[in-house]
Amino acid sequence: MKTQTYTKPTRTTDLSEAGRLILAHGEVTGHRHEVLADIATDIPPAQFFEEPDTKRRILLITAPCTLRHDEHAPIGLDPSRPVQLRQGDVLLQPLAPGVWYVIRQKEYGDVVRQVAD
Amino acid sequence: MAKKYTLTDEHRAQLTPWADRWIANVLSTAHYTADDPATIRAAVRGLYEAAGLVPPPDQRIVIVPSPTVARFAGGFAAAIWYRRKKGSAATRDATRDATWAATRDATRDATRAATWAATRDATGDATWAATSAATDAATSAATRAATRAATRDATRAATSAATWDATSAATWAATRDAMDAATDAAEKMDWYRIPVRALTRLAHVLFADDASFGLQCASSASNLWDGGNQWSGWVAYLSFFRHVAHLPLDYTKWQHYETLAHYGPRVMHAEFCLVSEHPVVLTVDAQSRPHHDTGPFCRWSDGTALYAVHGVRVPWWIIEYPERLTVAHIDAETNAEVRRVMLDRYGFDRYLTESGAQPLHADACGTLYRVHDALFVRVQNSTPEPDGSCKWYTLPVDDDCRPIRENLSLGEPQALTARNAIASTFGLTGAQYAPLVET
Repeated sequence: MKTQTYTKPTRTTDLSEAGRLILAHGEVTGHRHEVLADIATDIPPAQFFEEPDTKRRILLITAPCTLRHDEHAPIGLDPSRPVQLRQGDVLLQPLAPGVWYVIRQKEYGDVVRQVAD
Repeated sequence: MAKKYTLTDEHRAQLTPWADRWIANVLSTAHYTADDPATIRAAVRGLYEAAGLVPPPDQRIVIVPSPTVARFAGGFAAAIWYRRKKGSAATRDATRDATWAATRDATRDATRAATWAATRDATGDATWAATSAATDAATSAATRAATRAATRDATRAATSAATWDATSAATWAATRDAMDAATDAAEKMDWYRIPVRALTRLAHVLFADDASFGLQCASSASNLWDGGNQWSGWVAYLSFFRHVAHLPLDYTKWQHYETLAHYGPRVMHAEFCLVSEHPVVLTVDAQSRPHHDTGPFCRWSDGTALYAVHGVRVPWWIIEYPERLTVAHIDAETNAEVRRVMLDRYGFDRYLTESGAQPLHADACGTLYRVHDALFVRVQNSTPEPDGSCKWYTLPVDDDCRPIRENLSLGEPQALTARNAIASTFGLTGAQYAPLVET
């Protein structure tokens, strides 16, 4: 199977928060879906940004990391295994090795809204 | 008349800020200052004089706490003045005569309409959409339309209650309890809190055997109505040319109307003028729709209040006492939008559990339910709680399981399956949804 590739656009918007890679904040609980380095003291070898045209939020990692959340079991992120992963209301849709499109769950209603965890 | 004005780039840049300023004026909850009563009375006098009318004396230019008071007190006062001058005559003609719109119309013609005509002749309608229409679009649902509907419905309800009562005091006493019960039931479903029953009784006190006349005058007091700050759209447009474009028009009559556009709705009668205070609470959602999750979206200092959730007018008790909601209430609600709000308050998951709703489809991803005309998917958390159990949760999904995309638009319809439903909440089709790891 042909390996997918991903080219990072120019002029992306950095979504990291003071260096922390928080993919989503819980609106109700305050819990976070956060990407951490496998060694606690290291800075995660990753980037989290928004594409300028599509507004997709992209997670790009260059070495194994872990996605953590207070209420969900951790998920290992391996750049060599671009598979679909889900942690609660966050879905990581693989685009290429080490690259995931980060999708927040939404519910349908009077207004379409993100699921509040 | 030759056009005197062409929009400049400098003025064009001020259109949106100008509209925003007037939008804020419509949504104002500011208390009147100590100087405001004098300003209001001077402007009211100016309005009457601009129309060649004798203004009411200052003691009959009254600031009232809410549009509801303006509507009922205005109607009652109009009825009293009519009877004082012409005697008792509870007929349709009498109601019309008592609430004749002459004063309101004359003052408006002399100020707003005259300025409108002069401005239109001089400028064309180029800035109408950017000022008046923009102001109205952003505010009407939460202010003008809501106030009009609530006061109209309340006066109709009161008139209906009074008409149900016979016109004699003896019959009134006999039927009062029955009317109270009926009014209780009706008020429970109202989206506003207006003391209809107390106002109906007041009409009986004021008009004895002719309460219907007073209440019909309150109902017809819309003829005497000027929206004040709720009608800021007009003022946004006309004042743009006065203050930004500096159009060389005579604004000496208009200025009184513009001044009163900073204050609440008013009732204008030949003998009196009532001006409402601003509400103390007025909230809208991001789309400018009337909205408050836990209380009235609009409340005045006298306690009269209006309720809506994302623009849907809902019975007040759903907001104030959501714990009183039952499955029976939800099932009995015929309005789909109100029912969705009820379901949201009650909790989708709790409703599905307690209502015994039958599943439409089930697979490894969860279970899909149809409740009335809405679809819900119920799924279990993959990560166990500390006690080993796994939380259930329920999400509303599109009626055709269409994926909800990043920009909140909807994709193509899918078959009604639980997998498709869950996938749609992530903007995917069922075929695209297959997480290898899920926690």
